[in-house]
Amino acid sequence: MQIDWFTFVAQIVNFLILVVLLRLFLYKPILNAMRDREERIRQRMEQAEEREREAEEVKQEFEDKRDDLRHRESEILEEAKSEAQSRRDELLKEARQEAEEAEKRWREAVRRDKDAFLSGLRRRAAQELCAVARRALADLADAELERQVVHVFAAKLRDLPDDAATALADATKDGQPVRVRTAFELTGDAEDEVRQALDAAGHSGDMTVERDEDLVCGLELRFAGHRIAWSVDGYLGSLERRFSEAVERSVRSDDDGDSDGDGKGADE
Amino acid sequence: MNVTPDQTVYVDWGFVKLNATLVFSWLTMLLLVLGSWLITRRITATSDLTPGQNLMEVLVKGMESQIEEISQERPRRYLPFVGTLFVYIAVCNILSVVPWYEAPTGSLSTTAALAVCVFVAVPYYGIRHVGIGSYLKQYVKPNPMMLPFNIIGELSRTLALAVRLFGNIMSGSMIVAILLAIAPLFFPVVMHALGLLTGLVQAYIFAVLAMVYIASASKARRDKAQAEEDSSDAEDSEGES
Repeated sequence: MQIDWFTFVAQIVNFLILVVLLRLFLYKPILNAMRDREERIRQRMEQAEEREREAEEVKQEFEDKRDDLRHRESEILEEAKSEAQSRRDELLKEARQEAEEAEKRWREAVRRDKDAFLSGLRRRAAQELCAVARRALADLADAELERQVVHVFAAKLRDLPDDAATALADATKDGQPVRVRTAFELTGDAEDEVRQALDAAGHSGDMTVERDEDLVCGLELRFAGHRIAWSVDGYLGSLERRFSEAVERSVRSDDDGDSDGDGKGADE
Repeated sequence: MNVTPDQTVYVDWGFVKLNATLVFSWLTMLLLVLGSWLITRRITATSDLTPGQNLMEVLVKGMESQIEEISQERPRRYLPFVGTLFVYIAVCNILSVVPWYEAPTGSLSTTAALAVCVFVAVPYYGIRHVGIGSYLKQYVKPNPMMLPFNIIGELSRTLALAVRLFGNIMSGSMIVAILLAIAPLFFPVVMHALGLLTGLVQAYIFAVLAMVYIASASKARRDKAQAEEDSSDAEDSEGES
């Protein structure tokens, strides 16, 4: 058992060759591959961390947005509520105004009805009164009412106040005619009497006579803005006032008793 | 029967003899290089590994960590030498269970060659690592009187490396051969299994010892660095006091 020197040297060479070959074919590629893999894993981890961070950021952003939206939601709701409230108030106001206007219109209508009624009443009352008076005068004094009216009117003309007399004289001076309106046909005597009265008052011009039923059993003289008249109107005036008050009272009591009255009570 | 494969000579040209040691060494080398090439040819850095690459990575990584543990240094510069020692011896020893295969490590010529490689590698790495002065100074430590002992130690451990490996492998194959003559059934198989174990253990011991010798040769610089660190610490503390 001894060392074979050739084998010994050959084995040294063999071993060194093997070291070189294995280094070339085994260690280097394996170590490089492992290093590369570690590098890749490190990169992947870094990427993953980066992505995680990004995801976290995006998540945070979305959460912020969501919170913002939630916040806005309540704001919008609040806005809608206030808008609805204001709209409701507006509508209520409009409705109230309309109701007020309707009431006003109704009151106006009532007033008109009342006026029409009263004026109608006045006219009829005057006519009735005239008829009654006429009959009474005819029966009692054996004289016509109209005649008596003319007498009174003529007396009034004769007793004109000074300023009216002056105005009448001025009007005559200008040659302007005076207008006499009557509610009835003037007979010749009556016309003469009026003319004489005018003459006495200082008037010498023409005189025109017009019929006007509205005067209600009376006479009226107009000239240059002045008016001299007698009629049952004066008497009827107080009567009408009293009627008016009575109607007013009844309307008011109707209003109190029947809040949504439609004016029928006034007509009745 | 032959005690060592050196004695199985196929061709004899006087000094140059083609014996079984060389033939099986080449065979083993061819196997190793071819296998490595086949595996690393399709190497990939992805996690999609072939089983061969996986095996190689485990092997290389294992050797690397062992070297790092012993040398306390970056293992890459020692890996080709020490790793090849381990792989070559281990494959030779494992293949000895193959019939008619004669492990080259069973020849004193081979183990002596490997031991001489280690013997040369120690100063090679030591000088490269710490410089020739520091390396040579180790022989006169702790005092010049130790120089002869250090040199003897250097030589004797090389001899021990060669003889230990040779003795173990040779004795293993001898025992199998003897048992084959005495009890040809079962026992040789058991001894072969035991041989596998001792073969791997011997490969490990050889590589680890080589690494330890190399590491101790480059230890000087670490000692020096350590000493400098200590002295600077001492100066600092003096300055403070």
